[in-house]
Amino acid sequence: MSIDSSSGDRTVSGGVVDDPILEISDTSVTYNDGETYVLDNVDVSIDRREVLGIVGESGSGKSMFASALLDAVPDPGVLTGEISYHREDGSTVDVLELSDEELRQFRWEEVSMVFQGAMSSFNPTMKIGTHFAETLKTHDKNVSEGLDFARGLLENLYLEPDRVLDSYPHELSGGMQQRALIALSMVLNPEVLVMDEPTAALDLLMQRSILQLLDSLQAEYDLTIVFITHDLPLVASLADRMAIIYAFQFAEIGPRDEIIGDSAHPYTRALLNATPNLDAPLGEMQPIEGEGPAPVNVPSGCRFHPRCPLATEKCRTVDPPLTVLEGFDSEHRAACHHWKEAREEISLNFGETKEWFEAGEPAEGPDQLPSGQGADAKGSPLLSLDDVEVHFTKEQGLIERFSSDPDAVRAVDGVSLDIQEQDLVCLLGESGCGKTTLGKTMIGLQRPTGGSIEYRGRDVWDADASDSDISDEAIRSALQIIHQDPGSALNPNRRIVDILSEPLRHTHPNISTNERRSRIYSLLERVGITPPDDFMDRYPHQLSGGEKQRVVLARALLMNPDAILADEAISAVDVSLRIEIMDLMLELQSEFDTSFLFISHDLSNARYFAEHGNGRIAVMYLGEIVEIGSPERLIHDPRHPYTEVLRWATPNLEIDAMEAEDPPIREIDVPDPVDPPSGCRFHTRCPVAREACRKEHPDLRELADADGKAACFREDPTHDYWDSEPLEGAERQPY
Amino acid sequence: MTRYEPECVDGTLFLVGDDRIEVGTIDDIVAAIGGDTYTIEYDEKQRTQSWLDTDDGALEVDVRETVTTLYHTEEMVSELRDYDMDTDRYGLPTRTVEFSNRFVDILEQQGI
Repeated sequence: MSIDSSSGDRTVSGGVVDDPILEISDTSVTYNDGETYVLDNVDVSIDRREVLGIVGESGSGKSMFASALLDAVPDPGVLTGEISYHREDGSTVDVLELSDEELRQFRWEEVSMVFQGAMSSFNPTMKIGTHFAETLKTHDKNVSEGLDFARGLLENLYLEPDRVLDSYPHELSGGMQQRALIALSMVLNPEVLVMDEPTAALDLLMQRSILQLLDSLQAEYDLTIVFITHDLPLVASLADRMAIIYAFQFAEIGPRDEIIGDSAHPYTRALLNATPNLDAPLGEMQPIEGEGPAPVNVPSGCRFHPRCPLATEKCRTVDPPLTVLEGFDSEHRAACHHWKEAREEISLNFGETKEWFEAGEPAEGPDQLPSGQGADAKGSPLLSLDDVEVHFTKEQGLIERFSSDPDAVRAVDGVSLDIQEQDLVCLLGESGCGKTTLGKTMIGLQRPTGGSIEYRGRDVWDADASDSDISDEAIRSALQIIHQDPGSALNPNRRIVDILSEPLRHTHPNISTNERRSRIYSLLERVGITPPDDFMDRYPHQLSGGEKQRVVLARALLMNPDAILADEAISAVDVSLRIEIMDLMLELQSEFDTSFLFISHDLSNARYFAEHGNGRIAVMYLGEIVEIGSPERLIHDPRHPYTEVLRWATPNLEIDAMEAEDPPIREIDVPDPVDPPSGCRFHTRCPVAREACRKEHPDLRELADADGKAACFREDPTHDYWDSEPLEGAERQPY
Repeated sequence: MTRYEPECVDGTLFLVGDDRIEVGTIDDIVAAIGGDTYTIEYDEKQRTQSWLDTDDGALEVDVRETVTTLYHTEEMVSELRDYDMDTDRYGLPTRTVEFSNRFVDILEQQGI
C-alpha cells in the first residue's frame, strides 16, 4: 500500500480557507421549541480537499454538527442557519433548501457520511454486494464498473472482496462491516466524506491502518474529509486543520500544528494535557476537573468557565466570540477572553519523556504511588498461574464427530504469571488475543482447561480443598471485576444505595441498616461522589458515565477484594476524565491493599496506569504473553516485534512523529485462533520473521540486558534464527 | 468458517452446511416471529445511507422469504444445536423458538 503523508499539496495554505467547499453560517440545532441548543450558532468554512479534524467529548455536539452538514438532524430537532455547498464548477447549493429527492442525490454523490452507528443502517436481508449494486442503481451509475471499483476499495481495506460482497451483514465481524461501509461511502466517488467516529469500534492497529488508507484515498480522489472524533491524537496524524468543540460551540479552530503545539483555548490545552499518550511525563498529565455541561444546563458567559483555571468575572458573564487571533500567520480562531494568558500559563506536557528515558532518569511523576511490587517481589504470590490453558471446543457436526479431533479456539495457551500482593499488571493486545479470557481466568471466573491457578497457594478450582483454610466463598469475594460498560453493570431499577447494600449484606451480614448506610456514605465520598446524600437515592440513569464507573468501583471495593480485574474499565469514560478515574483506582489500590489487573487495547492508558502504579505491562498475542516488562522499557525499548507494532499503532502528539510511516507489519488481519500459525504465532505478520520462526516456538525468556521477558529468537544471539533465511516480505534486519 | 444455507423441504426449514440441522416448519417460525411481515425502522441519520430506499424510514421484511434466503454462521448453528425439537409449553419446538429469537435479533440489529 502506498502511503502519502498528510498535509501534502492540499489547498489549505497557512490555515486560510481560500476555496471553501462547505460554508456553515449561524447554524444551530434546537429542541424544546428553541429552548435547548445542541449546536449553537456555528460559523465555519471547510476548504476544498482539506482534512478537517473535529474533536469533542461525548455529548459536546460534534455528531449533531455532522448530521447538520447533511440536513439529517433527528426529529424533533430543528436546524436553522445556512449551509452552502460550492461545486467545483462554481455553482452553489443551499443545503437546507433542497427537496427530499435533491437531498438524496446530494447525500453520497456530493457529501457522503460514515458514522459509528452506520453499521445498524444495513438492510439485514440484503447481501453486502446488493448494497453496492443498489447504491449504484439508485444513483444511475454503471453497476459492473462500480462493482469493480468497489472490489479495489475493499481490497485496499484489507478485505477479501468476493467473500465480503457475497455475505449478509450479520455474517461479518463489526470491524469488517465498518470497513465495508467505508468502501460503500466511497463507491459513488463523492467530493466530501463526513466521518463521525468511523473507526471507534475498531482496534487501534486497524484504526491507524484505515487512517493511513484514508490519507492515500484523500490524495488519490481529491477528497475533502471532515473527520469527527473524541480521539485527539488519532485525528492529529491525518488532519490539515483541527477544530475543538466544547458544549455545542466551536472553541478553537486552526492549522493542525498550531492546535497541537500552540493552542490558545484553555480547554484545548487542558484536553491535550489530559489525553493519555506516550510522550508526556506522567506527573504532568492532568485531568480536567468537572464534566462538560448538559444541553439543559449550559453555564452563562464562557461555557468552559466552571472548569477553567483562568476564569474571571468577565468569563462568567460574557460569552467570548470565536475570533481570529492576532500574531498568527494563519487563520487561527479561538473563543476565549484570556487566550494570551492561557498560552503562557497552561504549559503543554508532551514530547519530553523520551529525553528523560534516554538520559537514564526514571520517568515517573512526583506523586508516584509506591504500590506495585512488580516482578521483583519476594514472598509468596497472591495469584499464581502455571502453564494455564483455556481452550474453547467448538461444536461439531455429526460427521466430524466421528472423523476428526474437535476444533479448539486456543484463547489462552501456556501462560505462567505471578501476581503479588498490591501488584499491578496491564494486559495489552488486540481484540480476540485472549486478554479478557486470561483476566477472567486469573480471578476464577473462567475455568482453565489446562495448568493451574492458585490463590495464596490454594488451587482455585480444587474441589477437594478441605484441608485449606481458604473457602470458595472467600476466594470469590477476594477477586472482583469491573466491566467496560458501567451502565450495563448496574441494575437500572435499583437505587444506588440498594446496589451498594448488596455486597455489604454478604461481607457484613450482621450490621444494622444505619451502619450499612454510613459505610456506603463514606465510600461514595471516597470515590468522589459528593455529596453522597444527593446520589444515594438516585437511579443509575441519573448518573453520568464517570459517576457510574465510580459507583461500580465502590461496589467492587465493598467486598474488600485482594485483586480487581478492570476490563477496559475506562474505555467508556470521557477522555478528560480518564486520568482522574485511573488516579482514583491507583489511590484506592494503595489504600485498600488491592492488586489490579487492568485490561486494555490502548498502550497510552496501560502506560499511564502501569507507570504510575509501578507495575508491568504484559503484551498478549493469540493467547500467549509475548513480552512483559516495565512500561518505560516496553515503550522505549520494545524487544518483541509485535510490541513495536502496538507502539506504532498508538497515536502520539509529537508533530514531527506524526508523518505517516508504513505499519511495521506484513499482514493487517489477525490469523484464525482455531488454527494459529506454527512456530512463533506472530511469524505470519512479523516484519523480521525468518524460516526458524516458522518451525520453532520461542519461549518467554528473561531478557539478558533489561527488565522483563520476551518471546523472540532475536534476543538470543546464538540462535539458528540468525543463519536462516527471511520469510517472504520480511526484512533481513541485523542483530 | 462454514456458512449454513437455508433449505426448505415440505414446509420445514433446514440449515445446511457441513451437516444439516432441522429448524422447524416455516409456519411455526412465522408464528414465533409474530406474523408474515416484520418492520424495521431507521432513524434520520441512518436514512442518509443511499441503499435504504424508504420514504418514512420503515422497511417491511417478508418473513417467509427472508428465513428461506438468509445464510447463517457456523457459530449460530452450533448454538442452535443446544436446543432440541421437543415441544415447549407454548406448543412450538424450543429450537424453532430459539432460531426465531435470533432471527429477530438479526433484523433488529439491522445487520450487525
